[in-house]
Amino acid sequence: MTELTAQPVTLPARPAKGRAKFLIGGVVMLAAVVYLIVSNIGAQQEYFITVDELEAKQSDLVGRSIRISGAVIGDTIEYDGKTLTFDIVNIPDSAATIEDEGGLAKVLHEAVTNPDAKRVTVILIDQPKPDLLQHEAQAIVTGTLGEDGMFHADELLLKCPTRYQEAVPEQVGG
Amino acid sequence: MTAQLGVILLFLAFLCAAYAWGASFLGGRREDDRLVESARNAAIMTWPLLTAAALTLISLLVRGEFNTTFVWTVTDRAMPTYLKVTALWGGQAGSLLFWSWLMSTFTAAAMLRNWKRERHLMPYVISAAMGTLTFFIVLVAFWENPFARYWQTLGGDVATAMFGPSAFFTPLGVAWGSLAQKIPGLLGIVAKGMVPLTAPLGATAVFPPDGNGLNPLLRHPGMIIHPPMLYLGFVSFVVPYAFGMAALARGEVSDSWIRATRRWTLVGWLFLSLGLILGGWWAYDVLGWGGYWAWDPVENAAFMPWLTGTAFLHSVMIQEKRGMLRRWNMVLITLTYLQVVLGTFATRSGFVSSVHSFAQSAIGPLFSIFLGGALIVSVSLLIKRWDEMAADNELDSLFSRETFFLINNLLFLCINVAVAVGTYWPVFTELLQGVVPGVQKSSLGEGFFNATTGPMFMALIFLMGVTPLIAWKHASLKRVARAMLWPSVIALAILGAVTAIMGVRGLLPAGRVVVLTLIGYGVALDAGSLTIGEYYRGVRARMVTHGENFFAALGTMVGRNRRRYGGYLIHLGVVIMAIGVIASHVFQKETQQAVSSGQTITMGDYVLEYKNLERFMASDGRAVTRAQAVVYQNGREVAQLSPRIDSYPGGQPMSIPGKYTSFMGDDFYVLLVTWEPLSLSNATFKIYYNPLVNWVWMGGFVFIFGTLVAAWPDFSEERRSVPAKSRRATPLAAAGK
Repeated sequence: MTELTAQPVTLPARPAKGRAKFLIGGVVMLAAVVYLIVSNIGAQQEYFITVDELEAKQSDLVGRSIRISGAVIGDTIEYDGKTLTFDIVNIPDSAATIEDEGGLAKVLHEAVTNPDAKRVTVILIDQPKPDLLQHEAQAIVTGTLGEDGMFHADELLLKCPTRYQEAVPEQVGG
Repeated sequence: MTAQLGVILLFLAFLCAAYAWGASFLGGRREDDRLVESARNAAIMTWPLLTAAALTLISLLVRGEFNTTFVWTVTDRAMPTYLKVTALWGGQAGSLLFWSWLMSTFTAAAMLRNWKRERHLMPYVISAAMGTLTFFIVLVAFWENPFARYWQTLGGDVATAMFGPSAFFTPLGVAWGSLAQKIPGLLGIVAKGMVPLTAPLGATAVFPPDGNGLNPLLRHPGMIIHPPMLYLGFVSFVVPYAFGMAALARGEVSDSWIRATRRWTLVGWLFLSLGLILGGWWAYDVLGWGGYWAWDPVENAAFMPWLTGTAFLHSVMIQEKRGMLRRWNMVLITLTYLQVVLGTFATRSGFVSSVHSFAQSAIGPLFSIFLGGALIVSVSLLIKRWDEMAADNELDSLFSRETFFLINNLLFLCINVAVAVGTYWPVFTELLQGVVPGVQKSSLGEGFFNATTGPMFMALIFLMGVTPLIAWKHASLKRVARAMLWPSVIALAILGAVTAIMGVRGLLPAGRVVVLTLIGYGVALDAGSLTIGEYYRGVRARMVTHGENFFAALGTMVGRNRRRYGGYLIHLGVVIMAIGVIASHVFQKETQQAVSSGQTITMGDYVLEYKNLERFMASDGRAVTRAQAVVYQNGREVAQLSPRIDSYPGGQPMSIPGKYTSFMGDDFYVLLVTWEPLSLSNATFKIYYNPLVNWVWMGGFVFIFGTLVAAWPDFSEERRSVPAKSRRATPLAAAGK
């Protein structure tokens, strides 16, 4: 019973001093937390780059932690149980632009059918081939650009405008 | 006809909620009892209306009325009935309806339960709750109407509308549509996003023969229970917020709103915790990446209100005992509420990219407007009553339980800030890109979250063990040190033994990691040992003073202080989870290899032997590719696993892992990655070895059990609530209050 073990104490008159100590303690703690957050932002930031930008600034980017997104070309997916490679083509990086251009599904479709779109080969080693990796999926890959011009990814996130989102019954399509 | 009935029920619910909102506010201002009572009746009326609307939707789902958009989107004929029912929350429109129904249930219950006792607060409680509910019903009725149906226009297009063509309403709708096209910006998106009331002239209803089907990922028991749990948690936090705002509006900022909502807060917290734990279990079981928590934006969105809610649960104890931190508690509950709304919004709108957000829609801007409004109202009420919420007491000493609670609160808030920074970083940087030079859109990965929150969680776990030993007001260092001595010695001894065993077996990682791991384990074991020590001290004291045996003493002790000892059980659950989290993080091993039939993969003490592969069609229409494999531990066969890949027609294939759980709770987690299509003799497996991962679920179980102990209604306490309250206050009075 901790409440009961509390000592009956006569209040010492020192709230002002106590408050100062509290403020200092609080400020020190907050400073530590701010430092923790800021230093880790510096260390862990992954830049969003489009395939176009990757091409343009190739030399500056080698070795830096970046994240690119693009439309997957189905024919280029190769997997031997160990090495997974596939090509992605450029799509706009902002959600607003994608909306303006008619939504993700349309943007992805146009990207993969455009023969002039910039593309880059993504390589992953010792990773399973994800279920969602298919033609016209949006791949978001995190990793580094290698000297070989390939994008060495260690994380792969896929988004698919599948039939499970935003669709209308095909049976009545026309 | 059923779909129209649903629409009409929604409209009626909207009218009731909006009326209750306005009437309760006016009634409160004018002190008009009749108006307030009429508002209450309207508020309670939303419950049968929304119940009927939800049942209508369920009946459409079960009967497979694919003419209805929502039914077509989330079900198909092949789905079993229970899945058709739970498909209610398998899509956006149904989820929002379900959310509204829960919200209405909880507010109706809160009103019936607290009507007499908190009569003076009620007008504004109704306003705050019904304001929220009205917003959600508006979303369901006008933007995300699950009862909208498919129509074929004369031009051959497919349109959606709530009702069939009407000579009067259709031209109005067309006029509105062309007006909406001209509105620029966000409001335009909002206006264009409305579901048309009536179909174009000449359109005929369309009856698709079969539906689209539920996303296979959502067909798992964890996913069936996980969203309702989160929603329940979200919704129950609205009740304490409504009471808090009512207290502010009334200017009765004493502690009665805290007492009235104590149990609601605990219930909300229970469901939120349960939702988070189940979400982790689902991810581990279904998503097949060997982990359970990835700091995904949607997980974070539910985690953030949990953090402020947890801080709130702790700091209200200081308000109850010492009459301090009134402002702070108001701020915390407001933050929790806003994060609940932001959480639902972030999940729904897809404005932060996430694996499981629904598609983008017009409701994003609507949520922003509502959130802004709620923020303005809450902050202005807080400012208005700021001075009245002064504390009764000053902090007496730096070394007191109050101080430790305060540090605990600050830590929870700092973790919240770190998680928020990480989650919304892509949004911040996208906004600032081009505005502030040098800023480029970027994101923060898992590493950021682990590195920032890890140390803070460790500090919290340390506090969790120590704080119960520290007295209110003034603690004596000597006493605390004495109380800590034996539990800490025991914890250190266990840590030493475990380290020695692991060192001998060569399992310790190298370098800095080993130090951090040992610190983490030391802190967790110490907190666990101190918590058990608290139980032990209490039980022993009763055994000595009352001559009871161990179990009787434990029973009475916990029964009489359920909030306290339930709380300690929760702490113990956290310790167990922490041990599991650290182990499965630091010591996880993985490998990926291709093998042919009869070959083996070795990992540590374990060997996986691949037998064969089979492909077949399951009764629910999915194509299954299943591998048979045997697991040996130190040469002895321990399990037969069958990791498989399920492919639903037209959907994406999904990998279901095979798992072998060892005695200590380690998982040998096997995924079938790929196979040779023709011979079926070669297959590639990915294996994760997750040490102590089951401690996470075990700890979660203890955690939830502890919350139940703390939150279970105490009927005898309620019947004599007044004397009970004064009795609780005596120890403090004795301590020189």
